[in-house]
Amino acid sequence: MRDLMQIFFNIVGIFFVLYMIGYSSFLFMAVLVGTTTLHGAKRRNILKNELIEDYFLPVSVLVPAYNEEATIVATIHSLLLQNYKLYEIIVIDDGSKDETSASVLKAYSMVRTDRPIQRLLHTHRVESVYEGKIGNVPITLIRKENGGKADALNVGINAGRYPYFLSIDADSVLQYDSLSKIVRPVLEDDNVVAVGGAVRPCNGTEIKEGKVVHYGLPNKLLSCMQVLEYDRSFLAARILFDQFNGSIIISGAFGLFKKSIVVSAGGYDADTMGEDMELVVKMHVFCRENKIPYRIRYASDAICWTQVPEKFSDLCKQRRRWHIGLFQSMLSHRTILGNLDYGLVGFVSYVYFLIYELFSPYIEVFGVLTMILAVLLDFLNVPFMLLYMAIYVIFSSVLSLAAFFARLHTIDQKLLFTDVLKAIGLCAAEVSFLRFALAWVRMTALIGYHKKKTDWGEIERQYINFS
Amino acid sequence: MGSEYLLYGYGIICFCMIAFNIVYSMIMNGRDHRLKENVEKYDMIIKGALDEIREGRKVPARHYRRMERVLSSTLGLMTVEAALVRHVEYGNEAAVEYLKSLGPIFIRLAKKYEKRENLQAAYFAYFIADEKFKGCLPAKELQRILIAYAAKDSFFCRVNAMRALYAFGDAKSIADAVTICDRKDAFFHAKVLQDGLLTYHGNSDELISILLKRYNSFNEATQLVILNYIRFESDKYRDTMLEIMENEENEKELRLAAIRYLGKYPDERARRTLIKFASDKNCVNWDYTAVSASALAKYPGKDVTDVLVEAMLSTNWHVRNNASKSLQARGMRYSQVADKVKNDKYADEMLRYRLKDDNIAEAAS
Repeated sequence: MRDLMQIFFNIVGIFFVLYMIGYSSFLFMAVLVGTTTLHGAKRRNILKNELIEDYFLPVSVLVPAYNEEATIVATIHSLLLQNYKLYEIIVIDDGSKDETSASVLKAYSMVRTDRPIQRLLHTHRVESVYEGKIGNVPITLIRKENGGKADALNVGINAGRYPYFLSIDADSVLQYDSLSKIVRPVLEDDNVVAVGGAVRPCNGTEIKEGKVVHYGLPNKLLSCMQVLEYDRSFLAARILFDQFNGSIIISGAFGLFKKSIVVSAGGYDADTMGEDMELVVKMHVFCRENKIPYRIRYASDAICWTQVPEKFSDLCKQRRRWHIGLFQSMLSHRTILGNLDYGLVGFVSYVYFLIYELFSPYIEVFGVLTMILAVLLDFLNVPFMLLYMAIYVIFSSVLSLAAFFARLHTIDQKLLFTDVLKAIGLCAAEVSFLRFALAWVRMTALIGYHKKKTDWGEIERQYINFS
Repeated sequence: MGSEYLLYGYGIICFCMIAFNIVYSMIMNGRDHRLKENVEKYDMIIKGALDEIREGRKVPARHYRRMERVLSSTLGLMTVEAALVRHVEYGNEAAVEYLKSLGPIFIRLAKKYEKRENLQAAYFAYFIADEKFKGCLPAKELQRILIAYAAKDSFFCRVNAMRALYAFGDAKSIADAVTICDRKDAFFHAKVLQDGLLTYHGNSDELISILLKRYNSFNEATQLVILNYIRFESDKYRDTMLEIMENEENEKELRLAAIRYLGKYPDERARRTLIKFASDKNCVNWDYTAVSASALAKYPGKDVTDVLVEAMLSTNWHVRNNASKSLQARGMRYSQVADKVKNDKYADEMLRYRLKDDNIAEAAS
């Protein structure tokens, strides 16, 4: 029996070593490529290798909202401050129970109209439409029956007048130049069908008139750890995927899309929680199956500031939702896996998301349980294990810090010395504790999962001061 | 098991990245500081040269040698640019003369930067495209070199070179650059090329004339840009547009561009064809119908109104939308057309919105 156990622990050990080598190699590549790309972009920026003149592609900005009375006006305000000249704003109130629509109507002068909406995509019923114009920016408020975020976005696509649309969460704010920067990849390459922007936590950052006046780490530790996590996991990884057209996720908080392709691909899937990832994967499938040359890009300089959850319960809700969305998306597009027709999307992106995102919580929790069992059965070389964990924690912390400082330096944001110390101190805590806590949350996410359940996943919002 | 050594290796590289970031940040801070100091220094040097010119003396040759040396690096270009701004922006005549005297240096620099990496070449093109050099540079010689810049692989190099050509080039040079980009199949987003051409304030008639002469040799994307550029620039090309619209062998997008032109600048000779397109019930040609319905807005007459009302009954949303906008532009009221569309829910809905609440609809479009 003991021999069998020994074999079992040996196999598990080898598996985890391979798993960790794979994961750390990926993270390392991501941070290396991310850092190099950010520095390259900075140099291009200094040497004016960018579109300097104002070129405007018409963009419909879609803001789906559900119970967002606390943030919706600040979000619209940030949109009105854009240094972009050709866009419209469409707010879609998905049957909110609070005063979301009333807040918008109170803040901006709008009139109820009978505007006909083209039915490109099937959606729940539109109840009423309000229109107005603020400066030169047309603004539309659409109230509809509750149908979920994807359904709200599909209504926005139907109502949009322009060939490109931008989706932004109602709890997020844009920098004054975000719209012009997210459009640039389209002007630089005609084949670009979607562009993801950089989503950054705004907790701790002071933004006035669309510009960052003070950048600092949030006071709350949980938010602070998420700042580090965003840079390591999202920023660096997305830059890496961008190198080989392998992005399979564009955050719902900030993404630009070519409307004709999205409509042809069937729009957002109202039956999934991860509608943002689902859409991007669907666009890959649609373009490849129809032999349409395409690129899905990531614009690291187009910035959207979003509130990250400050309460652990809210963070759990968010991550549970993300994980279910990931599961649904990966399941419905499983034919991509290892499929030659999808190139690196099927061999690298899908495999990465499958192993290191979808399965990782199960693998990590299994690893912890195995360790406990090994300790109980006296199979574990404790000093070796501690050494290994220490190496892992230090390595991951260094990676986080490398990504974090690279981002700060390349966008000319200065940090207080106390914030530098805070970042150094918290990166280890994030890797050691938060990561495992979230692994547990993600592992249990699918318990009680309903296939058709598409609620918005309410998280407590703070009023955003954006004046 | 040995795998920890891999992590050690990765970790060391990551430490190096952090160290690089810190050093890079320090270098950048130092560079900003040095740039500020150098701007002050060259401000004084340029001021000295300007004083010489004002007092009728010749600027010493060593000054020009020094300027050529400093302008040979992109940091030097940045420095001199910031220093020059202080003297040129106030319409200083001596400064204009001084800039003209730098002409031979710029020709040599243009050739030098052409051989450098694309990033630097693009920055040089950006530098000389600046407004302050207007009328001061040896345009003729520089244009020839900039055409070669426009043929480079770098998108930004092409954009900046074209920008410089729009700023001080002549019509032929711009047309040559467009031709080279077209032949090399170098990507230029239609919007970037079209809006760029519109910033050219030289002889646009001459530019259009040259581009039209070469029109048939261009690929479809460039042809479309040229037609759209003409639409925004001039009302003198109705004949050309009529010919393009009527010729069934032309590509659809080109014919649609011609229809848009004839909608913006109405021509009675186009009426019959536009009405024919707008009356077409064939769903395959819906884009001709939709664009023609839009173009007919400025064509007076009951025949056009009848066609537009009929178009409201189309099964295509875009046709109905454009026809309703045209009817709105013609000052129609809902009561005038209500009975003709009452049996069509979609047409009725659209016209109610356009012709009743015209203020909002107009504001929103």
